[in-house]
Amino acid sequence: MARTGEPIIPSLENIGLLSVPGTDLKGFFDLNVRRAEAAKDYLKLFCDNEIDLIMMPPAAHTAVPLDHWTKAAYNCIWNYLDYPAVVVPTDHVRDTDSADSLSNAQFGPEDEKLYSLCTSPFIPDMTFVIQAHTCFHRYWPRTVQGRTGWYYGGGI
Amino acid sequence: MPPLFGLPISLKDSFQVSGYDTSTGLGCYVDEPAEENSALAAMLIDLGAILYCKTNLPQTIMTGDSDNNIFGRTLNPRNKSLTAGGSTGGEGALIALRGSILGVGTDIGGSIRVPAVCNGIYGFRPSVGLIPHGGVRDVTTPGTDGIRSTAGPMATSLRDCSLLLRTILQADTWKYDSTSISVPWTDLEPVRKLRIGVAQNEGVFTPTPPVRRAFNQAVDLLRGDDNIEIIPITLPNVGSYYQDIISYFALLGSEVSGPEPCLIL
Repeated sequence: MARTGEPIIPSLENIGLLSVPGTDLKGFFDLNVRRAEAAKDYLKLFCDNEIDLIMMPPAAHTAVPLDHWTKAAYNCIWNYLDYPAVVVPTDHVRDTDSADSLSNAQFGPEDEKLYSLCTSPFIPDMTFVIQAHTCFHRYWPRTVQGRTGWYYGGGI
Repeated sequence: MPPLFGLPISLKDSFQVSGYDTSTGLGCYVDEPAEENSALAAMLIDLGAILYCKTNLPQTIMTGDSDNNIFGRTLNPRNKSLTAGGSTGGEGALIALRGSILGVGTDIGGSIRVPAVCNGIYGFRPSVGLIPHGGVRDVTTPGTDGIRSTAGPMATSLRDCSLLLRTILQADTWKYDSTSISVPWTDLEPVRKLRIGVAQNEGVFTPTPPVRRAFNQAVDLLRGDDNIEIIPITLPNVGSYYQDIISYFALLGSEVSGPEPCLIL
Protein backbone atom coordinates (compact mmCIF):
# COMPACT_ATOMS: atom_id res chain seq x y z
CA MET A 1 0.00 0.00 0.00
CA ALA A 2 2.97 2.28 0.54
CA ARG A 3 4.06 1.67 -3.04
CA THR A 4 0.70 2.48 -4.56
CA GLY A 5 -0.39 5.06 -2.00
CA GLU A 6 -3.91 3.75 -2.22
CA PRO A 7 -6.40 4.95 0.36
CA ILE A 8 -7.59 2.65 3.08
CA ILE A 9 -11.21 1.59 2.71
CA PRO A 10 -13.67 2.77 5.39
CA SER A 11 -14.44 -0.77 6.57
CA LEU A 12 -10.76 -1.43 7.31
CA GLU A 13 -10.51 1.83 9.26
CA ASN A 14 -13.63 0.93 11.22
CA ILE A 15 -12.63 -2.60 12.18
CA GLY A 16 -9.69 -1.21 14.14
CA LEU A 17 -7.05 -3.75 13.10
CA LEU A 18 -4.80 -0.95 11.88
CA SER A 19 -4.27 0.35 15.39
CA VAL A 20 -3.57 -2.94 17.15
CA PRO A 21 -0.09 -3.00 18.71
CA GLY A 22 2.15 -5.94 17.86
CA THR A 23 3.79 -8.27 20.29
CA ASP A 24 7.18 -9.86 20.77
CA LEU A 25 8.18 -13.50 20.72
CA LYS A 26 7.42 -13.97 24.41
CA GLY A 27 4.03 -12.40 23.89
CA PHE A 28 3.40 -14.78 20.99
CA PHE A 29 4.33 -17.77 23.14
CA ASP A 30 1.97 -16.52 25.86
CA LEU A 31 -0.84 -16.28 23.31
CA ASN A 32 -0.19 -19.90 22.38
CA VAL A 33 -0.23 -21.01 26.01
CA ARG A 34 -3.61 -19.36 26.58
CA ARG A 35 -4.91 -20.86 23.37
CA ALA A 36 -3.94 -24.36 24.51
CA GLU A 37 -5.81 -23.75 27.77
CA ALA A 38 -8.86 -22.60 25.82
CA ALA A 39 -8.75 -25.82 23.80
CA LYS A 40 -8.81 -27.80 27.04
CA ASP A 41 -11.72 -25.74 28.39
CA TYR A 42 -13.81 -26.33 25.29
CA LEU A 43 -13.00 -30.04 25.21
CA LYS A 44 -14.27 -30.10 28.79
CA LEU A 45 -17.43 -28.27 27.70
CA PHE A 46 -18.12 -30.98 25.13
CA CYS A 47 -17.26 -33.88 27.42
CA ASP A 48 -18.94 -32.63 30.62
CA ASN A 49 -22.18 -31.98 28.75
CA GLU A 50 -21.78 -35.02 26.46
CA ILE A 51 -22.77 -32.91 23.49
CA ASP A 52 -22.16 -33.68 19.84
CA LEU A 53 -22.29 -30.15 18.56
CA ILE A 54 -22.92 -26.56 19.57
CA MET A 55 -25.71 -24.54 18.00
CA MET A 56 -25.73 -20.75 18.29
CA PRO A 57 -26.55 -17.62 16.30
CA PRO A 58 -23.83 -16.85 13.73
CA ALA A 59 -23.85 -13.18 14.64
CA ALA A 60 -25.62 -10.82 16.98
CA HIS A 61 -27.39 -9.20 14.04
CA THR A 62 -28.39 -9.63 10.43
CA ALA A 63 -26.67 -7.77 7.59
CA VAL A 64 -25.78 -4.29 8.80
CA PRO A 65 -25.33 -1.00 6.93
CA LEU A 66 -22.22 -0.66 4.80
CA ASP A 67 -18.91 -0.58 6.68
CA HIS A 68 -20.51 -1.42 10.04
CA TRP A 69 -19.66 -5.11 10.34
CA THR A 70 -16.74 -4.76 12.71
CA LYS A 71 -17.13 -7.50 15.32
CA ALA A 72 -16.41 -11.16 14.76
CA ALA A 73 -16.72 -12.70 18.22
CA TYR A 74 -19.48 -15.11 17.14
CA ASN A 75 -17.27 -16.53 14.41
CA CYS A 76 -13.62 -16.18 15.23
CA ILE A 77 -13.81 -18.24 18.43
CA TRP A 78 -14.12 -21.26 16.11
CA ASN A 79 -11.09 -20.19 14.12
CA TYR A 80 -9.21 -19.84 17.39
CA LEU A 81 -10.17 -23.38 18.42
CA ASP A 82 -10.12 -24.68 14.83
CA TYR A 83 -13.53 -26.25 15.12
CA PRO A 84 -15.53 -26.92 11.95
CA ALA A 85 -18.47 -24.52 11.73
CA VAL A 86 -21.37 -24.30 9.30
CA VAL A 87 -23.91 -21.53 8.78
CA VAL A 88 -27.44 -22.71 7.97
CA PRO A 89 -30.00 -20.15 6.74
CA THR A 90 -33.35 -20.45 8.49
CA ASP A 91 -35.66 -17.47 8.26
CA HIS A 92 -36.16 -13.86 7.24
CA VAL A 93 -36.76 -10.66 9.14
CA ARG A 94 -40.48 -10.27 9.44
CA ASP A 95 -42.72 -7.24 9.82
CA THR A 96 -43.57 -8.49 13.29
CA ASP A 97 -39.97 -8.21 14.46
CA SER A 98 -39.62 -5.05 16.50
CA ALA A 99 -36.67 -3.23 17.94
CA ASP A 100 -36.35 -3.20 21.70
CA SER A 101 -34.66 -1.09 24.31
CA LEU A 102 -30.89 -0.70 24.51
CA SER A 103 -31.18 -1.84 28.11
CA ASN A 104 -31.57 -5.38 26.73
CA ALA A 105 -27.94 -5.37 25.67
CA GLN A 106 -26.51 -7.53 28.43
CA PHE A 107 -22.77 -7.20 28.18
CA GLY A 108 -21.72 -3.61 28.64
CA PRO A 109 -21.02 -0.47 26.59
CA GLU A 110 -19.49 -2.18 23.54
CA ASP A 111 -22.50 -4.47 23.39
CA GLU A 112 -24.87 -1.49 23.62
CA LYS A 113 -23.03 0.27 20.81
CA LEU A 114 -23.46 -2.72 18.50
CA TYR A 115 -27.04 -3.33 19.67
CA SER A 116 -27.91 0.26 18.84
CA LEU A 117 -27.22 -0.45 15.14
CA CYS A 118 -30.29 -2.63 15.18
CA THR A 119 -32.84 -0.52 16.99
CA SER A 120 -34.17 1.10 13.85
CA PRO A 121 -37.09 -0.68 12.11
CA PHE A 122 -35.88 -3.97 10.73
CA ILE A 123 -35.67 -4.43 7.03
CA PRO A 124 -37.90 -7.28 5.86
CA ASP A 125 -36.47 -10.09 3.84
CA MET A 126 -33.07 -10.11 5.47
CA THR A 127 -32.39 -13.70 6.22
CA PHE A 128 -31.31 -15.33 9.41
CA VAL A 129 -29.06 -18.18 9.88
CA ILE A 130 -27.97 -20.39 12.68
CA GLN A 131 -24.42 -21.43 13.13
CA ALA A 132 -23.70 -25.01 14.07
CA HIS A 133 -20.34 -26.28 15.10
CA THR A 134 -19.82 -29.92 14.52
CA CYS A 135 -17.91 -31.87 17.04
CA PHE A 136 -14.44 -30.89 17.77
CA HIS A 137 -11.90 -31.90 15.27
CA ARG A 138 -8.58 -32.35 16.84
CA TYR A 139 -5.37 -33.40 15.37
CA TRP A 140 -2.02 -34.45 16.67
CA PRO A 141 0.52 -34.12 14.33
CA ARG A 142 -1.14 -35.39 11.18
CA THR A 143 -3.46 -37.94 12.67
CA VAL A 144 -6.96 -36.71 12.84
CA GLN A 145 -9.78 -37.84 15.02
CA GLY A 146 -13.17 -36.51 14.19
CA ARG A 147 -16.71 -37.03 15.30
CA THR A 148 -19.70 -37.06 13.11
CA GLY A 149 -21.21 -33.83 11.96
CA TRP A 150 -24.95 -33.69 12.32
CA TYR A 151 -25.70 -33.45 8.66
CA TYR A 152 -25.62 -36.39 6.32
CA GLY A 153 -23.38 -38.29 8.69
CA GLY A 154 -20.29 -36.90 6.99
CA GLY A 155 -17.25 -37.23 9.18
CA ILE A 156 -15.13 -34.13 9.27
CA MET B 1 -15.93 -39.11 -15.95
CA PRO B 2 -14.30 -37.11 -13.17
CA PRO B 3 -16.71 -36.38 -10.31
CA LEU B 4 -17.08 -32.63 -10.90
CA PHE B 5 -17.17 -32.90 -14.68
CA GLY B 6 -18.56 -29.74 -16.26
CA LEU B 7 -19.52 -28.14 -12.93
CA PRO B 8 -18.84 -24.40 -12.87
CA ILE B 9 -17.32 -23.40 -9.56
CA SER B 10 -16.56 -19.82 -8.51
CA LEU B 11 -13.52 -18.95 -6.43
CA LYS B 12 -12.68 -16.12 -4.09
CA ASP B 13 -10.14 -13.83 -5.75
CA SER B 14 -7.37 -14.84 -3.35
CA PHE B 15 -7.07 -18.28 -5.00
CA GLN B 16 -4.32 -18.20 -7.61
CA VAL B 17 -5.43 -19.27 -11.08
CA SER B 18 -2.70 -19.52 -13.68
CA GLY B 19 -2.66 -16.63 -16.13
CA TYR B 20 -4.88 -14.38 -14.02
CA ASP B 21 -4.23 -11.71 -11.42
CA THR B 22 -4.60 -12.48 -7.76
CA SER B 23 -4.86 -8.82 -6.90
CA THR B 24 -6.84 -9.59 -3.76
CA GLY B 25 -8.12 -6.03 -3.85
CA LEU B 26 -4.67 -4.46 -3.56
CA GLY B 27 -3.14 -2.20 -6.20
CA CYS B 28 0.34 -3.54 -5.61
CA TYR B 29 -0.73 -6.95 -6.97
CA VAL B 30 -2.46 -5.77 -10.14
CA ASP B 31 -0.97 -6.92 -13.47
CA GLU B 32 0.94 -9.79 -11.94
CA PRO B 33 -0.77 -12.86 -13.39
CA ALA B 34 -0.23 -16.07 -11.45
CA GLU B 35 2.28 -18.43 -12.99
CA GLU B 36 0.64 -21.50 -11.57
CA ASN B 37 -2.65 -22.63 -10.09
CA SER B 38 -3.30 -22.74 -6.38
CA ALA B 39 -3.55 -26.29 -5.07
CA LEU B 40 -7.34 -26.22 -4.95
CA ALA B 41 -7.69 -24.71 -8.42
CA ALA B 42 -5.43 -27.46 -9.76
CA MET B 43 -7.49 -30.11 -7.95
CA LEU B 44 -10.80 -28.75 -9.17
CA ILE B 45 -9.55 -28.70 -12.76
CA ASP B 46 -8.32 -32.28 -12.44
CA LEU B 47 -11.72 -33.24 -10.99
CA GLY B 48 -13.43 -31.83 -14.09
CA ALA B 49 -14.73 -28.55 -12.72
CA ILE B 50 -14.93 -25.39 -14.80
CA LEU B 51 -13.36 -22.33 -13.20
CA TYR B 52 -15.12 -19.34 -14.69
CA CYS B 53 -14.74 -16.44 -12.30
CA LYS B 54 -13.08 -15.10 -9.19
CA THR B 55 -15.04 -12.96 -6.80
CA ASN B 56 -14.51 -9.76 -4.87
CA LEU B 57 -13.15 -9.33 -1.38
CA PRO B 58 -11.96 -6.48 0.88
CA GLN B 59 -8.73 -4.59 0.66
CA THR B 60 -6.32 -6.72 2.79
CA ILE B 61 -9.03 -9.43 3.12
CA MET B 62 -9.26 -8.69 6.83
CA THR B 63 -12.58 -6.93 7.26
CA GLY B 64 -16.33 -7.44 6.92
CA ASP B 65 -17.11 -5.41 3.77
CA SER B 66 -15.90 -6.61 0.37
CA ASP B 67 -14.70 -3.23 -0.84
CA ASN B 68 -11.44 -2.21 -2.46
CA ASN B 69 -9.93 0.41 -4.75
CA ILE B 70 -9.50 -2.03 -7.66
CA PHE B 71 -12.97 -3.44 -8.24
CA GLY B 72 -15.13 -1.38 -5.93
CA ARG B 73 -17.70 -2.57 -3.46
CA THR B 74 -19.84 -5.72 -3.46
CA LEU B 75 -23.38 -4.81 -2.50
CA ASN B 76 -25.97 -6.97 -0.80
CA PRO B 77 -28.31 -8.26 -3.52
CA ARG B 78 -31.37 -7.93 -1.29
CA ASN B 79 -30.66 -4.40 -0.17
CA LYS B 80 -27.84 -2.30 -1.57
CA SER B 81 -27.54 -0.17 1.55
CA LEU B 82 -26.45 -3.23 3.52
CA THR B 83 -23.20 -5.14 3.47
CA ALA B 84 -22.74 -8.36 1.53
CA GLY B 85 -20.27 -9.29 4.23
CA GLY B 86 -16.62 -10.19 4.03
CA SER B 87 -14.19 -11.25 3.29
CA THR B 88 -15.84 -13.70 0.90
CA GLY B 89 -18.57 -11.19 0.10
CA GLY B 90 -18.27 -11.53 -3.66
CA GLU B 91 -19.01 -15.25 -3.41
CA GLY B 92 -21.87 -14.62 -1.01
CA ALA B 93 -23.59 -12.15 -3.30
CA LEU B 94 -22.95 -14.14 -6.47
CA ILE B 95 -24.35 -17.34 -5.00
CA ALA B 96 -27.36 -15.49 -3.56
CA LEU B 97 -28.04 -14.12 -7.03
CA ARG B 98 -27.61 -17.64 -8.46
CA GLY B 99 -24.72 -16.46 -10.57
CA SER B 100 -22.85 -19.39 -9.07
CA ILE B 101 -24.12 -22.75 -7.89
CA LEU B 102 -21.06 -23.59 -5.81
CA GLY B 103 -18.21 -21.46 -4.60
CA VAL B 104 -15.14 -21.66 -2.44
CA GLY B 105 -14.07 -19.11 0.12
CA THR B 106 -11.55 -18.80 2.89
CA ASP B 107 -12.09 -18.11 6.56
CA ILE B 108 -9.61 -16.88 9.19
CA GLY B 109 -12.07 -14.98 11.39
CA GLY B 110 -15.51 -15.56 9.88
CA SER B 111 -14.91 -14.78 6.21
CA ILE B 112 -17.01 -17.66 4.87
CA ARG B 113 -19.69 -17.42 7.54
CA VAL B 114 -20.27 -13.64 7.62
CA PRO B 115 -21.15 -13.48 3.89
CA ALA B 116 -23.28 -16.59 4.39
CA VAL B 117 -25.20 -14.69 7.08
CA CYS B 118 -25.52 -11.54 5.00
CA ASN B 119 -26.73 -13.35 1.90
CA GLY B 120 -28.79 -16.16 3.38
CA ILE B 121 -26.75 -19.05 2.06
CA TYR B 122 -24.83 -21.99 3.50
CA GLY B 123 -21.17 -21.55 4.32
CA PHE B 124 -18.92 -24.14 5.89
CA ARG B 125 -15.63 -23.50 7.62
CA PRO B 126 -13.75 -26.81 7.84
CA SER B 127 -10.83 -27.29 10.15
CA VAL B 128 -7.51 -26.09 8.81
CA GLY B 129 -5.84 -28.27 6.20
CA LEU B 130 -8.79 -30.32 4.99
CA ILE B 131 -9.26 -28.33 1.81
CA PRO B 132 -5.94 -27.37 0.22
CA HIS B 133 -5.01 -23.79 0.94
CA GLY B 134 -1.67 -23.61 -0.86
CA GLY B 135 -1.47 -20.81 -3.43
CA VAL B 136 -4.07 -18.64 -1.70
CA ARG B 137 -2.83 -15.10 -1.20
CA ASP B 138 -2.76 -14.28 2.47
CA VAL B 139 -1.61 -10.90 3.75
CA THR B 140 -0.36 -12.22 7.06
CA THR B 141 3.41 -12.11 7.44
CA PRO B 142 4.99 -15.18 5.82
CA GLY B 143 6.12 -17.72 8.37
CA THR B 144 3.79 -16.69 11.15
CA ASP B 145 1.73 -19.51 12.54
CA GLY B 146 -1.01 -17.92 14.55
CA ILE B 147 -4.62 -18.46 13.58
CA ARG B 148 -4.59 -20.10 10.17
CA SER B 149 -6.93 -19.50 7.30
CA THR B 150 -8.97 -22.39 5.95
CA ALA B 151 -10.87 -22.90 2.69
CA GLY B 152 -14.46 -24.07 2.50
CA PRO B 153 -17.58 -24.30 0.35
CA MET B 154 -20.42 -21.83 -0.01
CA ALA B 155 -23.66 -22.87 -1.67
CA THR B 156 -27.44 -22.77 -1.50
CA SER B 157 -27.71 -26.19 0.11
CA LEU B 158 -25.86 -28.40 2.55
CA ARG B 159 -25.96 -31.13 -0.07
CA ASP B 160 -23.79 -29.00 -2.35
CA CYS B 161 -21.35 -28.11 0.45
CA SER B 162 -21.07 -31.84 1.15
CA LEU B 163 -20.46 -32.55 -2.54
CA LEU B 164 -17.44 -30.29 -2.59
CA LEU B 165 -16.04 -31.56 0.70
CA ARG B 166 -16.57 -35.22 -0.10
CA THR B 167 -15.07 -34.91 -3.57
CA ILE B 168 -12.01 -33.04 -2.34
CA LEU B 169 -11.40 -35.36 0.60
CA GLN B 170 -11.64 -38.39 -1.65
CA ALA B 171 -9.09 -36.99 -4.08
CA ASP B 172 -5.70 -37.23 -2.31
CA THR B 173 -5.20 -33.63 -1.22
CA TRP B 174 -1.67 -34.48 -0.06
CA LYS B 175 -0.56 -34.69 -3.69
CA TYR B 176 -1.46 -31.06 -4.28
CA ASP B 177 -0.53 -29.33 -1.05
CA SER B 178 2.18 -30.29 1.44
CA THR B 179 0.31 -28.46 4.21
CA SER B 180 -2.96 -30.32 3.74
CA ILE B 181 -4.20 -32.92 6.19
CA SER B 182 -5.56 -35.76 4.11
CA VAL B 183 -8.52 -37.12 6.00
CA PRO B 184 -10.77 -39.71 4.40
CA TRP B 185 -14.45 -38.92 3.99
CA THR B 186 -16.32 -41.29 6.29
CA ASP B 187 -20.07 -41.74 5.98
CA LEU B 188 -20.85 -42.24 9.63
CA GLU B 189 -24.39 -42.64 10.86
CA PRO B 190 -25.35 -41.27 14.26
CA VAL B 191 -25.40 -44.15 16.74
CA ARG B 192 -27.45 -42.46 19.42
CA LYS B 193 -29.70 -39.48 20.05
CA LEU B 194 -27.95 -36.33 18.89
CA ARG B 195 -27.14 -34.03 21.81
CA ILE B 196 -27.02 -30.37 20.76
CA GLY B 197 -25.53 -27.81 23.12
CA VAL B 198 -27.48 -24.58 22.57
CA ALA B 199 -25.76 -21.28 23.33
CA GLN B 200 -28.05 -18.23 23.07
CA ASN B 201 -25.07 -15.89 22.71
CA GLU B 202 -21.29 -15.82 23.12
CA GLY B 203 -21.29 -13.65 26.21
CA VAL B 204 -19.96 -10.55 24.43
CA PHE B 205 -22.71 -9.25 22.15
CA THR B 206 -26.47 -9.68 22.66
CA PRO B 207 -28.40 -11.02 19.67
CA THR B 208 -31.00 -8.58 18.39
CA PRO B 209 -34.71 -9.46 18.56
CA PRO B 210 -35.09 -10.92 15.06
CA VAL B 211 -32.02 -13.11 15.56
CA ARG B 212 -33.31 -14.30 18.93
CA ARG B 213 -36.73 -15.08 17.48
CA ALA B 214 -35.46 -17.01 14.49
CA PHE B 215 -32.85 -18.86 16.53
CA ASN B 216 -35.39 -19.94 19.14
CA GLN B 217 -37.75 -21.07 16.40
CA ALA B 218 -34.98 -23.27 15.03
CA VAL B 219 -34.22 -24.66 18.49
CA ASP B 220 -37.91 -25.39 19.13
CA LEU B 221 -38.14 -27.21 15.81
CA LEU B 222 -35.21 -29.42 16.71
CA ARG B 223 -36.51 -29.97 20.23
CA GLY B 224 -39.61 -31.51 18.69
CA ASP B 225 -37.52 -34.24 17.06
CA ASP B 226 -37.33 -37.46 19.08
CA ASN B 227 -33.80 -38.11 17.86
CA ILE B 228 -32.47 -34.84 19.23
CA GLU B 229 -31.83 -33.64 22.75
CA ILE B 230 -31.29 -29.95 23.48
CA ILE B 231 -28.87 -29.03 26.25
CA PRO B 232 -28.52 -25.34 27.22
CA ILE B 233 -24.88 -24.31 27.58
CA THR B 234 -22.85 -21.18 28.14
CA LEU B 235 -19.69 -20.55 26.16
CA PRO B 236 -16.86 -19.72 28.56
CA ASN B 237 -14.39 -16.84 28.25
CA VAL B 238 -15.16 -15.70 24.71
CA GLY B 239 -14.49 -12.07 25.65
CA SER B 240 -10.92 -12.75 26.76
CA TYR B 241 -10.27 -15.08 23.84
CA TYR B 242 -11.47 -12.33 21.49
CA GLN B 243 -8.70 -10.02 22.69
CA ASP B 244 -6.12 -12.72 22.03
CA ILE B 245 -7.62 -13.41 18.61
CA ILE B 246 -7.17 -9.75 17.66
CA SER B 247 -3.58 -9.96 18.87
CA TYR B 248 -3.01 -12.99 16.64
CA PHE B 249 -4.28 -11.00 13.65
CA ALA B 250 -1.71 -8.24 14.25
CA LEU B 251 1.33 -10.04 15.65
CA LEU B 252 3.76 -7.50 14.22
CA GLY B 253 1.42 -4.58 14.72
CA SER B 254 -0.03 -2.86 11.67
CA GLU B 255 2.77 -1.19 9.78
CA VAL B 256 3.73 -0.66 6.19
CA SER B 257 7.18 -2.15 5.93
CA GLY B 258 9.92 -0.92 3.56
CA PRO B 259 10.80 -3.83 1.29
CA GLU B 260 7.29 -5.26 1.28
CA PRO B 261 4.90 -3.19 -0.76
CA CYS B 262 1.82 -4.12 1.17
CA LEU B 263 0.27 -3.69 4.54
CA ILE B 264 1.64 -6.21 6.95
CA LEU B 265 -0.75 -7.50 9.56
